[in-house]
Formats: sequence, structure tokens, C-alpha cells
Amino acid sequence: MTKSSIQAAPAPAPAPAARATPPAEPGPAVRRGPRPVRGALLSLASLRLTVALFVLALFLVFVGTLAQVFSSNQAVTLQYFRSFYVRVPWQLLVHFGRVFFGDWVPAGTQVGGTFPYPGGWTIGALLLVNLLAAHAVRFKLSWKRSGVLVLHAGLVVLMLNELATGLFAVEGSMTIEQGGFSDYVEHHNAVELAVVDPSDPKVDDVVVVSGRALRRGGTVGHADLPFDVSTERYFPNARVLDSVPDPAANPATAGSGKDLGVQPLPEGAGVEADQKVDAPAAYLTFTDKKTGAKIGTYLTSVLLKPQPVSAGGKEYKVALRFARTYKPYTVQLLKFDHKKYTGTSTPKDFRSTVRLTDAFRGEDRRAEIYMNHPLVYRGETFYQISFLAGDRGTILQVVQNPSWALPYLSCALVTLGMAVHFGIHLNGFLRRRAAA
Amino acid sequence: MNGPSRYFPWLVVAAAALCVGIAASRPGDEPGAMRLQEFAEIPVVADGRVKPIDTLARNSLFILSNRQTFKDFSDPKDGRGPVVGEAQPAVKWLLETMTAGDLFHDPEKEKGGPPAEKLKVFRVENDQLIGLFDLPPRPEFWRYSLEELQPKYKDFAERERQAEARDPNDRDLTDHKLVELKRHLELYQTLVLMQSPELALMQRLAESRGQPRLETPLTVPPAAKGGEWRTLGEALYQLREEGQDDPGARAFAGVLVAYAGSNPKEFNEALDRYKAYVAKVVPEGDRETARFETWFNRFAPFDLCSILYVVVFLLAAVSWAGWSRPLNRAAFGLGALTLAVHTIAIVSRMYIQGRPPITNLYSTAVFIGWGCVLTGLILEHLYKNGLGNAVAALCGALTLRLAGTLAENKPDTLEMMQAVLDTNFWLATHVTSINVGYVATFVAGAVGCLFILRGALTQLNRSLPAPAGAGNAVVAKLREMLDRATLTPEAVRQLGQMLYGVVCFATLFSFVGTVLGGIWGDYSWGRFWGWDPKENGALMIVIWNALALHARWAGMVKVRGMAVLAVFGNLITAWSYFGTNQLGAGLHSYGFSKELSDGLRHFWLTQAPFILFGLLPLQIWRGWTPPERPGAPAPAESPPQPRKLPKVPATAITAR
Repeated sequence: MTKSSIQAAPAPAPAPAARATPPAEPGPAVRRGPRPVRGALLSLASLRLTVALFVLALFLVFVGTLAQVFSSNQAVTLQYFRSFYVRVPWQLLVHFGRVFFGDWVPAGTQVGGTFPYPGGWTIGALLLVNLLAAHAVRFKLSWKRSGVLVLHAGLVVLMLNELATGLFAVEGSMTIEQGGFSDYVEHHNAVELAVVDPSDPKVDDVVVVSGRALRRGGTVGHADLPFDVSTERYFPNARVLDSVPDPAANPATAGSGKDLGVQPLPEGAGVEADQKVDAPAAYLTFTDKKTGAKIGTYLTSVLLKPQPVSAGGKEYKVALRFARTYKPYTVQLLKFDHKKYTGTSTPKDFRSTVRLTDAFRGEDRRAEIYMNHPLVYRGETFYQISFLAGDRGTILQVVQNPSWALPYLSCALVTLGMAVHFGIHLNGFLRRRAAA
Repeated sequence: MNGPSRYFPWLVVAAAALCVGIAASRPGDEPGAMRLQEFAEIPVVADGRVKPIDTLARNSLFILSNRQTFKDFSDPKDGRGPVVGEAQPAVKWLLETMTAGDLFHDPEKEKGGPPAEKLKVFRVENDQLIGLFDLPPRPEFWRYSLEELQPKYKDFAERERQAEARDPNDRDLTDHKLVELKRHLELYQTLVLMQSPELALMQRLAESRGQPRLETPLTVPPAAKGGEWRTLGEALYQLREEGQDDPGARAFAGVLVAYAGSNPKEFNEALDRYKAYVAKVVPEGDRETARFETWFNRFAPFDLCSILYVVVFLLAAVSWAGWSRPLNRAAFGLGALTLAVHTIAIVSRMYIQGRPPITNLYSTAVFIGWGCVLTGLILEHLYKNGLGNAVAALCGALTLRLAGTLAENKPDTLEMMQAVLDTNFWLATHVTSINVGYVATFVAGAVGCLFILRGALTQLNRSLPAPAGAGNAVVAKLREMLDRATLTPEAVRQLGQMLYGVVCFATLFSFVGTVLGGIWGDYSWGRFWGWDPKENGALMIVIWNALALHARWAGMVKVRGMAVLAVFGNLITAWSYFGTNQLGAGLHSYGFSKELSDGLRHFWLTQAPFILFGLLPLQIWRGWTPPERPGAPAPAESPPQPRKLPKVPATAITAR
């Protein structure tokens, strides 16, 4: 730490002239440059800023952990870590108190309101700037600094990886019943309205409307759609009820909505406590394109089966479903094994034997997917993640992550850097001891 | 050094080694009596793994009784009336229980129930329950027999039903105890029934109705390769219904019948026959580990270590009062011996499981303890100031205590693993380095605590009046102790080095461990980093250690600041280790436990005073500050020859 960099830092304490350098860190050289630029760089390069950012990051990670009690991991990741700022509910801290200091926090304590806090993107970007500025200001190629240089390079790679993952990685899942096929991946964070024309016995004709368009409201019309779709009400997360809570005010005029109702739930909390996957629902009105006559208002939900809708003399199947990406290949589940330890119900092994057929590339192969043993194909990786109740089928997670190799590089760099840096110190320490 | 000082450390180590040797040696069965020790080594399957019947007996008895042995005031095999209670092996209790069914006893002939029902093994200490059963209070023992519980069983069952109907979060202590006792009675019932074909019939009925099958230990090995282990009841059922004979079941039943008949000669002969059969059908490896595990159970090396660590701590603590060199050397020697036993214990577990050292929460505790002790002893070897011994002993005793608590909740500490953890490579790399990171952070925290404590003692020493002449000998001794604890600039420098080194080590391992976890995640389910609670916990440790190092490099903190940060690191590490599991969210939640969240709170609260003390201004905490300018004469109250250090602004934690 040098004198000038301390003075430039936004620190309350004035730097003493003959400040002792801690034995650990040598005073790095400062490069000369135009004054205002250098001044700005020096403040950005301050180690005090690093420490302050670490404190901010630590608390963010902490509240981001607590938030997962109430919201899904995916929702929290987007709100807290892949965002510029976040509104943290006070109730999270109350919950923490309830779990660990239960005797002191009365049961049922509710504290409303939130406080604003910088999100992961903000803190990460500042840390990156801080790190780069520090190296720009104090850059000096020497053996003593080489470890720090390498390990910080590794950290930059790691941060860039999180950015790349946030921007480019696509996650989905593929559910296949025993003996069944699948050629699409479902994304649980998005929905679509599918209008299926099943009249051709060989191929279904499918038109989808994105969930975002439905959520925006208004009317969606398109040449390929047999009718116009307008949103009456949209629920980001709702449970389907066995009966209509208030029959007099039921928006639905046709389909299952005549007998079923919905109960809106908070977004990100899921419909089942352990799953935390949101189940969007919507009341949608379909209007005939030619006559402008209303076909009816339907209740749609990802929890409901496709419903028949007639338009222009044809019958269509309409369903709100999780967004799908169709693949140029097919996966068939040949066998799903769920082994247990002898005499117990503790799972020992989950294993899917699948057959992968790709007409475009002429692939046809068998593969076994089990814990810690995924299948990689066309840049996508298939993992054994779950199974259908009663071992009726398998659920595979399908991930496409172009930056998958970066963590490996980062881990190697940081480990090497730390080993060199601490190794040099250890060596010095041992030599001083031997001399003493 | 003169005679006693030179020989004392060796004497201590030799005496302890003798104790360890006795514990590890293997007492045989008395000639002519039933060879119970040999019976204990027979392999069975329970909780999904092959284990000796000894482990099954100890764990089951521990669940009911909170002990691995039982004491009784009357010997069931001897009608002579009460004898003085002597601890008897769990396997004897298991044999009584397994032979308590009608198969082995003729209810007509025997007065009352079978002997197993007379054994006082059910632990009941809740007043409400004791009142409900109308039991005589048995202070300091609190164990009752089934016979004593039977008269009021109906009332109990009714109350228990009500308790179970309640939401687990709304149950009070008595409700929990009611449900717990019901589970204990069910376990007993299972152990009795598993010999009976009726249980096999019940299991079949349950299965046909789609209900979960009652899980029981399996005692009869498969006659042919690829077959399944069965209960004796299942084998008898198949014999009765399908005419399928099984020599193994026959031989095992022979052992039980001979036991029930109280005939040592017959029992031993039947045992020999059964062992010969087992040797034919059970693989040598399984039999060998079962034998080894029986030895391991009897040796109980972790129990031994937790006692020895307390002795080490006492030696280290007394060394501060005087005669310090010999005592310290004794503490170091005994610490090293205990560490060796601790190592043997961990290696034994690895041998039994065929796995890397860490496979479940229990094993993290014993491993972290081992690592802390090793680090403490290395620090002692480097600095020879007695502090390393104390840190080693303290961490060793506390972590083994923690392991003991964890084992109370789940007695089979060698349990099989969840499917996702079934990979030796990642267990050996990610899990081990994460835990080494925990070790280093906890050691840094312990050093920080002792540093802050010594600062406070320095102040105490300064503020006491000077001893007036030849006063009380005890007071003089205490003053001498205080003098030794007083922080001198040299001590501050040494401890600063220690802290810095350990934090560097912690940063390296917690980072590597965390990233390896990410890579495992990438390899196994396609995400390097998922912001899962446990991952976040690990990340918090990395950030915290990095923060401590950067704060030091920035000159924001010096030695005392590092000490405070290190103690705060304890809070964070404990949060990552146990706290995140308590939230009941995420991939790594291994289950909530009230004891653990209470324990965590207590741990946090014990750390708070250290942090608060460490945050006091230098003058109040330690009583002396480094001199104003380099070369300036030392102020009168500062200790002799302070190092040349600039005065640091008295902001918060900025002080050396």
C-alpha cells in the first residue's frame, strides 16, 4: 500500500506519513500518467474499496440465501445475483431471527417493507473495475507479484463466466415416460399458449403465443392463428381450484374454467412447497377472426390439460404450457432404474437408459444417464435430475452452457496463483526463522 | 532440566499409551460361558449396509436407552433375585429381544412375559410421561422396562395419537416425547417381530395395498450368489408357505433357540455351525469388515480421544501457572498421541466404508477436529508458546463433542450415502478441501479468541496493584500466570504471523474447495454455480477470508483487527457448516434439527464477547499502545522494549 493511494481513497483516517507496510505486502510501484486520470484510477484501485465491496457482497449472498426459503432458487438468482439492484424484504431478517433466535423473536412477527440494495451485477462490476484499476495503477512484473497477477486473472475469468452463464446458458428439462419419446425441452421459467391443429393424422400443426405477450395484455392476432387471443386476467403463479370461488363473477364462459377456479399465489413461491416452480394461469378470450364473434373466455393453466376450441369449422386443442424448444433429435426412454439400498427406501442409484436418434446427423445410439454421469450431445448435456412418481418415467435436465470451460481455467489459475503467492511468503517466513 | 522435568512428559505419554492399548485390546469370552463377543461379529444387513450384529445391537439400544450398554438390577437368566447392576453388552440385550417372541418362549410355562420385557432399557424422564405411566421416579437412571410400561399402555397410546395428529411445529415437549417413546416401542416391536413369519405376512399385505413396507434389519444371508438378505421371519414364512428350506435360517434359528434355552454349550455349538455356514455364503471382505467394525465399536477411539483432549487442555492450562516447560511438553506429547489415535479412528472408518474420510455430517465433525488438532500442534511446534496445544485440545474436544451430539440423532454414523454423493473422486477432492478450509478458518478463529483474551488479561494485570511483598502464595501464583498471559510486542508479532498464515491457508483451501464443488456441479448437473444455500455459505467463507487479507494489506487492520475478523469468521463458518441446512431450502439441506439451531445460537453467542472485547479501544482493551514515533522513548506504562511502531489512528479496529 502506498501513501498516495491511501490519500486518494475515500477513507476517514488520514494516512500517516511513515505508515508501516504490513510485512506481507511489498509497496508496489505507481505508474505516472495524466493527473486527473491517475487520480480517478487511484480511487478506483483502492484496497479499501475492495474491502467495502466484499462487505456488500457478503451481505448480498447472505440475504440471497435467506430469500430462498420463500422463493425458488431460480427467482432469487435473477432478483438478487443477476440484477443491478434488489429490494430486500425486512421479513427475511425476521425469519432468520425466528429460526435461530426463536425465543427472542415472537412467533408470527411480520415486518413489511423492503430496503434497496445493490444487486450482483453492480457489485460484480465494481469489483472487476476495482481489480482492473488496481492492476493498471500498480502493475509491475516481478516474481513477487506474479502469484497475485495470475490469481486475479483467474478471478476475472470467474466473474466473466458468471456473466456469460447469466446471459447465454439455457436450462430446460425433458420428461419421458417409460418406453416413450421426447423431442423437446421444457423451460419452467417461461410459458406459451399452444394452439394445435390435430386434423392431419401424421403431423400436428402448432402455433404458439409467448407468455410474455399474454402477460402484457391486449389482443394478439396473427395470420397463422385461427382466432385472436385477448388476455382478461393473467396470473404469474396460481393454484387451480376444484370449484369456482365466486360463480357470479366467473370470467370463464367456456371450457374447464366453467367448473374450476384459480387461487393466485405469490410469484416465485411455486405451487408446491418443495418444488417452487411457478404455475402461470390466464383467463383468455378467443375471438373469431372473420366474424368478430366471441368464441368464449377460457381458463388456461399449465396445470390443465389441452382444451378443445372450435373456430372456422375446425377443432383445435389449446393449452397454456411451459415453453418448449423442439430439437432435431429424439430421445427414447428404454428403461428407468431406481435402485435402493437393501431393505430400505434410501435411493442408491437412478439410471435412465435412453436411445438417441438424430435423423439429420444419422446418429442412433444407446446411452446410460445416471448420477454424476451425464450424456453430452450437440453442445447440450443431459443430466439425471428427477423421476416421475412411481418410477413411471425419467426427468432429465438439459443444459446448454457455452462458457462451461471457463471455471476449469479459472480454478487452475487461481489455485496456481495462490500457491505461488503464499508459497513465496511461506518460503520467506521459513528462511527468516532459520536465520533467527 | 532435572530429573522429574525431563521424565514427566514421557511418563504422561506412556500412561496414556497404556490406557489406549488396554482399550484397543480385545477381551475374549469367558471359557464355558456363551461366546457373545463372537456372536457380535456376525454380519447382518441394516440401514442398507452389511454390519456386525454388534453395531445393530449398540445402535438400537442407544436409540431406546441413550447408552450402548445396559444395566439391570436383576439378571434375567438367573432366578436368584437382584444382583448389583453391572454394565452388560448391547448384544445380550439384542439376543433377549430377538428371542422375546412366542417362537422361543412358551407363554404357558413362563410366568409373566419373556425376560426382555423385564429389562429396564426404555429411557423415560419427562415428568408428564412418568405420571401418565404411573412410574416410580428413578433419578439419575430413568430407565424402565416394558413390563412397567404395559399397564397404562392404552392411555399412552391415546395421548400419543393426539400428539401425532398435531402439526410437528405445534407440538410441545411432552408431545415430542410421546411420539419419541412410541417410535422406540415400535423399534423394539420390530426387533421382536422380525423373527416371526407373521411379520412377513404383514409386509406382504401392506405391499399389496400399496403401503410402504416396514423396514427391518435382515439377518439371514442369501444362500446363493445374487440372492437377497432376508429376515428369519421371511425365511420361515417361505418355508411354511412354499416349502423352501434354507439351511442358513435353520442354523441362525438354532443359535437363538439355544440362547432362549439358556444353554451355553448348545449356544456355542450352534454358533459354530452358523459361523461355518456364514463363512460359506458371505464374502470374506464383508465378514472381515464386520469383525473389524466390532473391534472398532469396542475400542470407541473417538470417545477415548475426547477424554484425552480434555487432559491435554488441562495440562496446557496448568502450564500457564508454572512448571511450564515440562507441562507443555507433556501436553504436546499427549496431543500427538491422541492425534495418532484420532488418525487411526478416521482411517478405520475409511476402511470399513471403503470411502474417503468425509461421507456425512458426522464425519465432517471428526475430520475438522482432526485437522484443527494437527494445525494446532504444528503451530505449537513452530512457536512453542503453549497456545498451539490449547487450540488443538480445545478444537479437538469441542468437535468430538459435536460429533457425539450428531451421533445421538443418527446412531449409524457409517450410514450409506445419498445417491448423488456416491462418487469417491469428488468426496475426496471437493468435500475434503472444503473441510480443510473450515479447519483453517476455525483455527484462525480460535487463535483470534485467545489473542483477544490475552489482551484483556494484560489489562487486568496492569490494573491490579503490585503485589505487596511476600503475600499469599496462591495470589502470587495467579499473578505469575497473568504475567505469562500478558501481551508483549514480541507475542503480538508472533500471533500476528500465526493468524496471517492460517488465514492465507484458509483462503486457499476454501476457494479451491468451493470451485471444485462448482466443477462437480457442472459435471453432474450442468451448472457450475447455482446460488444454492450451501454454495452461498461456502462463498461467504471465501469472501470473508479474502476480506480479512485485503483489509490487512490495505492497512485497515493490524493484528488485533485480524483477530476480530478471524473470530467473526467463526460465525460465518458455523453458518455455512450448519446454518444453511437449517433453512430447509436448496440441494444440500440434510434436515432441520432444533438441537442444531440452538447449538448454533449458543456458539454464536459465545463468540460475541470476544468480538466486543476486541472492538474496545486499545487503551481499554490492552492498556498499552505502541509509542508515538519511531525512536521515541517508551511511555512509562508500556511494557519493556516495545517494537518501533507508528501510532495508528484509533478508528474502530485499527490497532496493533
